Amino acid sequence: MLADDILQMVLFLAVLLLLVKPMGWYMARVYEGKPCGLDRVLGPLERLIYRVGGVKGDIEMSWQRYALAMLAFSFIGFLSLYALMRMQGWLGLNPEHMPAVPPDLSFNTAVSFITNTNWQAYGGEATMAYMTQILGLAVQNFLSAATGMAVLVALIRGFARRQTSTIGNFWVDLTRSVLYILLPLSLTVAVVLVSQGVVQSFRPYEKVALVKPVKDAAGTVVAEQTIPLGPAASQIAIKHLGTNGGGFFNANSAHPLENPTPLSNFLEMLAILLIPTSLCYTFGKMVGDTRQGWVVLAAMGIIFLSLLTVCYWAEHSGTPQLAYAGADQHQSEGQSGGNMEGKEVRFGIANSTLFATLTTGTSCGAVNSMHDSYTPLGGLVPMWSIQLGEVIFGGVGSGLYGMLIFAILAVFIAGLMVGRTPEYLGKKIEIFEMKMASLAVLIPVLLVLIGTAVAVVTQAGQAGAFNGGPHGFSEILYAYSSTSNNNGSAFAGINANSSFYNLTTAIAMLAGRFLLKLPVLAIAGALAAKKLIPKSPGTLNTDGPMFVILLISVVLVVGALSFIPALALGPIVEHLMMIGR
Amino acid sequence: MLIEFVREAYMDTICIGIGTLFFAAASGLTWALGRLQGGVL
Repeated sequence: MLADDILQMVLFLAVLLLLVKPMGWYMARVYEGKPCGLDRVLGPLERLIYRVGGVKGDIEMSWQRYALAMLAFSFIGFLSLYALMRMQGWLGLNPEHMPAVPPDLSFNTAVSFITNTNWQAYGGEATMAYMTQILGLAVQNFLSAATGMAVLVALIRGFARRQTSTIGNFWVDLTRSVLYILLPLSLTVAVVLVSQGVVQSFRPYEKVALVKPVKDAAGTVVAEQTIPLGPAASQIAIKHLGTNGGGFFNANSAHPLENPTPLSNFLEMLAILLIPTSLCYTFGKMVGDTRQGWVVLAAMGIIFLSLLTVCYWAEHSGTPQLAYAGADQHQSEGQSGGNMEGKEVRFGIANSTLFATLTTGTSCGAVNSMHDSYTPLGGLVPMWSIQLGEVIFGGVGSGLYGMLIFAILAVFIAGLMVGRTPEYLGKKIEIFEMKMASLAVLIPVLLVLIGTAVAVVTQAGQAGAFNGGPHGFSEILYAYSSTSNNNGSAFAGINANSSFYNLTTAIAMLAGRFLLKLPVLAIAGALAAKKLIPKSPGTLNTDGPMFVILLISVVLVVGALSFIPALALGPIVEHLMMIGR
Repeated sequence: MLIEFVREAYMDTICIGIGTLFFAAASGLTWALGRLQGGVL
């Protein structure tokens, strides 16, 4: 059975790796404005969008103009999504007559979806009208993902170009990301998901008679159940492809109408990693040396496999408490074994831990199991994966630009250690770039730690956690890790729908997204203006195994130094308490 | 009913205000980073 689990994981990673090169090559063609095949069909639509929007696609922008365009676009997205939720009770496509979403929850949700976080302090089937789901949330799934991809492409151009003051046109990068990459892929994935039984309907919720009526806590006989419906498949496709993660239904990908079969689960996991991994090849292609892209992908892959191994081992091992109670935790043909609390029987340990590790490393945040129910060490993995900065493989665009920031740090540290010139891809790394890189690394760390500290010392913060002690601390730490790093998954043991959490997590999401993007764009602008330095004996090679090790070390050391003290108060002490009983 | 309406209007103002302030501050930060890059700050 262990072999079955490993085989499933190997098969998944093999299919993913096979897709990296063709997908990465395609995206490089899209961003370089070269013929990509789909331009013959969608080219007229692209030109129409520019004409209607008054966009002059051939005029490029400085990094400041690029950043201001991105901010203005996101601000308009925030206002329109907020307004849509507040007015949904008066609009159409609302067969369940959902009332307006309360102001603080609307604020939190609008921020969450424009920042690609998709943190959900609501249950979709109990809160959102179909109109809000399709015109608000689904649209922002596309646009926030495309914004991240645009910023990454701007940074890549910074590396690839020499002595220029421009890094591309934000509107063109945004449009091309949606039109040529996200829309065609989403359409394809949505159709396959529908074939697997994912619901796509505008009909009102169905009431069905229970096979066997049950009594509720008050002793009343319950004879029927409400089955929520809605246009889910179209949203679930982009939820994964755009590493957004916001579930159509409250249980997210653990819901049988959102993720019904092993094939849909496989496809959803593949959709999460497809673009982030392929963008590494796109990066290599656009800077003119694909080995650079493979090196970054290798570093991400090694960290990912290490974390997956720990998570799988921890969940597969189960808990001593269950063993003392006489529970059979062994894997057999009849059961998954290990710790199955909070996991779907149809997915088992392997597909739950694989999903948990990849969704938290990629800023997706969709879940097919409840991370709160993981063993302490099993739960530590998704939490630390988020805290490492969402760079293992990261969100679409945001993951790779995060990793490139670490690469800049790595060459600088290596330069200090061995006296070599700090340069990356032929660009000299100087004081300004290092200041910006430091900001980009420190901002999410500060947001997580300060947010958690405020929550654990205030009554409003403590009131949200369902558990006390180290587990309650973990729930709060996870909430601010998830929102500050724009992941969006929850530990599922916290009531985040309070004014305190709605406002503080929203601020964490805004700052974690945009205050990180600005230094990244500043680096892009600074690098684009530099001349290319020819390789010399003093140049650190960044296309070999040594740099992979260096890059991994920097990511892990920064992550460990920043978060081990906080983790020691949560999952680590909880683990020690568990084995000590 | 009126109290609820006023409360919601107040909360709407707060929420949109926070969002607006954040994006205004981020735009200001963009300008400041540009000045830092140029060696002015």
